[in-house]
Amino acid sequence: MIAGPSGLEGPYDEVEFLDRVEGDRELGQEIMQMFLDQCPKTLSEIDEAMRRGDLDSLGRQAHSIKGTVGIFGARDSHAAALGLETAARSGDMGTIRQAWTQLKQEINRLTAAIQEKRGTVPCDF
Amino acid sequence: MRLLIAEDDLTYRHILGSLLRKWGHEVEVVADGVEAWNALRLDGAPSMVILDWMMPGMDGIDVCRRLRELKQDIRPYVILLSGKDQKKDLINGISSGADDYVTKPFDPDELRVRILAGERILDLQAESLIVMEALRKQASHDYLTGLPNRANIMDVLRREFARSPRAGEPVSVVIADVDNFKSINDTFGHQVGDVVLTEVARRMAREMRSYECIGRYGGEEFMAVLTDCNTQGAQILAERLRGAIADRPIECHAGQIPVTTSFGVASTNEIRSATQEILVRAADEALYRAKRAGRNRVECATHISSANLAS
Repeated sequence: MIAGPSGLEGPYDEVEFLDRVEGDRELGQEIMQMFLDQCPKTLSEIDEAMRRGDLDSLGRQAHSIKGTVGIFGARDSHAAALGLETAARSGDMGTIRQAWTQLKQEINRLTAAIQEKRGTVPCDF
Repeated sequence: MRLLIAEDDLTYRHILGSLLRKWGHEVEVVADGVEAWNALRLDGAPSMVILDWMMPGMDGIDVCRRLRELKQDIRPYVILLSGKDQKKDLINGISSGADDYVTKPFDPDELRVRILAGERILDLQAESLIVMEALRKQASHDYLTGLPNRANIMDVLRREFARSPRAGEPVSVVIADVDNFKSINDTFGHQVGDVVLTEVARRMAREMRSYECIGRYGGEEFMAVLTDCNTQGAQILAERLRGAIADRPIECHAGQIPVTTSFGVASTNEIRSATQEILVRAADEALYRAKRAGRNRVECATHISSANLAS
């Protein structure tokens, strides 16, 4: 995968990610694994907040996931998380549901790409 | 340097911890604002904190505000870390008391130099505190003897006068004057005179309890302020001070010089409704009597002896 300024080539930006960990590939691997481990929990927490209609928690979770995907230079996921955070603040359930669907899709693409990177080249990405 | 990381997000916590350790810092890590606040209040707490804004319990902004409210010379340097990247967020963050503001996802190079800038500020702060302390000491202590100077001891007396009547406790003043000091100076020179003053000061200070205070009042005069102490107690102390000086000569390059001191004592239990000025004058008057009565002795002001001091 080649990194591009808009991230159009993939769900995340390898060069930016490496910058974020100061070129430390080992640390990069650890962060990827952490993200993969954490993701299902975060998504189910958002799901739970959706069910309860807890907009506060929803906004916080979206804000938090926005920060995390930012490390990977994952622009589409970042935009989707921002979308959900903004929607949660607006309180409009239609927009919120739409943003949530969008975010889930983007996170799935992102985790798949990271999974693939971890799986195929475990020590070098 | 020792740094505290306060961050609830596992991924950021890990990146921050790893990078900061790699840059040679000693790192402590907590996961929420309450823990951060507690860790920063401990003695020997880290001098810098990288503080996440959004945390459960107490958020980073709350921690910043609370740190600003602390009345202490040194506060930790706070770098607020936040996913909020609008100008108003930065303004809000710094206004709340953060020293610096870094947005997530952060650039490691940027964070590293911002920590460096923080270290410079902390170094400067530490240096100026040392200088301030030295100046404070210089301004309040006598250069030769190291005792509190006149302004300082008068301050102590003023404070005691403000406090003691409420507490219903007597205050005593003891003024000591080295006997025939002029002739010591004339005979042996000023250097020896300085040695004598320093040794007299040292011997008297050694006899004082921690809550008592003695200072250099003038050339060869010293003043002790004794709290919760009546005439009798002050007289006993003055006798002890007198003995500490007279019992053995002072050694210096000119040989052994016998030195004696005269003392005047005045206490508010004897001289009722005395102002501090009247009390000092009464002690001075008692000292004068001690000199006239042959020196190397203690005289106490009585109600009668100080009857005309108020005028």
